[in-house]
Amino acid sequence: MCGHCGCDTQPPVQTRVIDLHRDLMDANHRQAAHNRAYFHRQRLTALNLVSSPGAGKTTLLEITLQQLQGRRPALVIEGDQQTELDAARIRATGTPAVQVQTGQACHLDASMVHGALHELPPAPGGLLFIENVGNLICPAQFDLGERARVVLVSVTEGDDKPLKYPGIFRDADLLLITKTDLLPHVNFDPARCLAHARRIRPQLPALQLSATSAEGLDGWLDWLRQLDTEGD
Amino acid sequence: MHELSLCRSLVTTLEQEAVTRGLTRIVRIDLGIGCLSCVEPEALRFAFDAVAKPQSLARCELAIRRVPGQARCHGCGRHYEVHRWLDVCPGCGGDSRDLEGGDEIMIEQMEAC
Repeated sequence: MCGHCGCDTQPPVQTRVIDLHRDLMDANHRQAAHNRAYFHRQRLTALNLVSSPGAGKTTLLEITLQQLQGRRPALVIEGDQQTELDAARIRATGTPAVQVQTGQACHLDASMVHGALHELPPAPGGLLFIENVGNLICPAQFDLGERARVVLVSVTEGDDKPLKYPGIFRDADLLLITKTDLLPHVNFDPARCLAHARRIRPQLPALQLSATSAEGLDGWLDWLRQLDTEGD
Repeated sequence: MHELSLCRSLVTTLEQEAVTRGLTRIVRIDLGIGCLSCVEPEALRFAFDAVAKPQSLARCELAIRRVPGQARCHGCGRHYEVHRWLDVCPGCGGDSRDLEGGDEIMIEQMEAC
C-alpha cells in the first residue's frame, strides 16, 4: 500500500538479478544416489517397473516371485495413489512388501522409496522390485536409485505407445511386452512396438511374455539373473 | 500432476535462497525447462499460481525458457537440436541418434530485493 493515499500502487524498489543455475531435481538426484549406495552395500538389485495402469505389473510380479521362492530373496515396494490392494497380493506370495500411497502424486520419487526401505527387512544379494504408479508420463522424470528401469507395454495397448509417451523410454533398460497370449485377438505388432521404442532408445533390449500361459517367463528370469553380473 | 510437486520444491528452494541471501521479495524467476522433460510449462504456471507461497513470493513472475536437447545423428554424424521427441536429422532425415540433455528443469536466475 502506498504511504500517501492508501492505494495499491507498489513503491518502486531496487531489484538485482542473481544467477542461480539450480537444478530443481537436485533433491531427488541426491536421494536417489543415497538409495543407490544403500542398494550397492546390500548387494540388492533394484528394478523400477513402469507402465500404464493395467499393463500387468502386479501379475508379472506375482508369477516372478513364485519362481524366485527358495532361490533368491526378494522385496517389493508398491506404489499406488490409493489402497493397500497390491501389497496384499504380493504378501500372499510370501514376499515382504510395503505399500506407498502417493496421495495426489502421480509417481514415486526417491524419498518415498527411501521411506519404504526402512520398513523392509534386509535381503542381501536379493532383488527389489519397485512397482511404480501406473502412469507413462510422470515417473519418467524421477530416478529412484534403481539398477534398471523396465517399461511394460501390454498387447492390448497400441504398439505406438513408445511414440506417444517417449519420455519414459529414454532411460529404459528393457521393454517388456506383456499379455502375449492375447496377440491372436488384437492388432498389436511387437516388432513395430520395439522399432518405435528404439527411435527413442537405440539398442533397447526387449522381451515378450504372458503371465497367464507362462510363455516367455524363462527369458525374463534369465534377464534378471544376468542383470546382477552386469551390475558388479 | 507432477508439476504440483515440482512447484512445491521450487517454492522451498526459493524460500531457502531468500533466507540465505537476506532477500525480502523475489519479483521474477527465470526457469529453463528442457523440451524433452516431462514438464508442461502451462501446467507449471497453473501449479505455481495454485501452491501456497510465502509473502516474499506473493507477486513473483514466472518466466519459462524452453531448452532443446542435443543429438548426434548415427547416419551422417551431424549435431542438431531436438525440440520435439520425433525430430529427425535435418541433414539426412535419419531418426537414429544419441541424445543429450533436453530434460533439465533449472532455476537459472532470479530477480529480487
